[in-house]
Amino acid sequence: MVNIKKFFVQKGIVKTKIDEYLAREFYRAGYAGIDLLKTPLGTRIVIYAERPAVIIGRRGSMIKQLAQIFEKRFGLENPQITVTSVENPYLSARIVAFRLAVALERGYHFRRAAFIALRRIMEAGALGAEIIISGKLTSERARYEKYRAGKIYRAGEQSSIMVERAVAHALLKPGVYGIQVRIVKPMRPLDHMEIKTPVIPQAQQVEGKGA
Amino acid sequence: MKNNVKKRDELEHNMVKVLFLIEHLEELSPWIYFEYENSSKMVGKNNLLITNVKRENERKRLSKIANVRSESIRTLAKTLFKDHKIIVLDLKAEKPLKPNDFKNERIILVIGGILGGFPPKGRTYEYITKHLKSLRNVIVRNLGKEQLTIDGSIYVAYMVSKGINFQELKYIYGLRIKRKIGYIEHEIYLPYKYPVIKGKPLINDKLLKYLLKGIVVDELERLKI
Repeated sequence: MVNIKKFFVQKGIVKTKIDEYLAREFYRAGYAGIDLLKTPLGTRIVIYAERPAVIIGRRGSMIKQLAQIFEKRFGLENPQITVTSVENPYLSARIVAFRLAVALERGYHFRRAAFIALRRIMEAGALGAEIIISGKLTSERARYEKYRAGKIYRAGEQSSIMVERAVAHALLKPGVYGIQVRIVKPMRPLDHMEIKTPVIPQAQQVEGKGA
Repeated sequence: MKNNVKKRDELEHNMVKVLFLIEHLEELSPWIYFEYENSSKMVGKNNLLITNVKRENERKRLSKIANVRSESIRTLAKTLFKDHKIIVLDLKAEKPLKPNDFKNERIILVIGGILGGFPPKGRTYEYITKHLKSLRNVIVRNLGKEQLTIDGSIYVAYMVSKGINFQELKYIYGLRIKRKIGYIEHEIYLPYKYPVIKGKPLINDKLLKYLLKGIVVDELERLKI
């Protein structure tokens, strides 16, 4: 009999391994995440990316390669891959983190890149966002700089539901820069409370003083 | 307390001038220059020597705030300073710096002129200590386990030379500089140990301005975003 705990842990490990592999290979394509679904015919893999065309490749060549890799390296049965574009890339922490890493590697000033990203996240409708860039910024003493806007949930049930966090690394001449992005998605928090103004029934006409 | 004061007075009586020596190991960036400048303000231009300054333009700039030499302490320790007691300040040293280390001798206190990484990479050991520790006139000491800035370590060493144990001084661990630009909160965190003087961490005002300055921030402030 299969150990149930082991089965689910193993499933989680495979998903994480695939996720890390795709993040490493396709961070320039704006890779955002995957979903793994077991079907009677095999395994369905949904890849979310900002630019699906890069992952699909010319006439689906890259997808065919990926299917082989998933089957041989990660042991998935009959993998069927679907690549979907992300609706709003600025609400995906991973895409923003990877974009920042690419921008830093291209030589953008770290502050300019962070400020622009933060503004775009907020314009996309996020409730809050935080960007942390650390390392030997401008090749001097190591420090970290934090940029924050709106509301950030750090603990509790809210944070697990509403907050998306991603980490990316950019390799530059002075060393490795660490980039951490937290985005609070636009949704109603669990403890949302609204105070409604009581509806006052139309006051009965008070008879006039003179009556 | 009385004993401490007595001890301090005794030491001051016996003490000779300490020469603070910074072994320059990086390119001269504005940050490192501001730390050197702050060090010079504390101990005086004549008591500060910056060695290993190979470039002519850097020597010219640094000569305004300190005495400058192009030779490294590695060679000076065997030639010019061979009769001096040399104390190398290194995070990796086993023993802490004590007022007794400054007794009755001509002393050169060596500090690595490096803008450290975090976590520390141990470059002071790599570039200085490793090459000097075998010499008879050299001892290696630390100022605690946490990394200090260049001006911070000069201040602490100066206070130790005056007879105060470095543990008696006040410090803050990690400096946060916060400000608000429009709706964006901006925070700079420096993960180092800073001695506190009169309630304020020891940091050059020019360095603070330099850290807060930046093309992007200025642009945003102008646009009032």
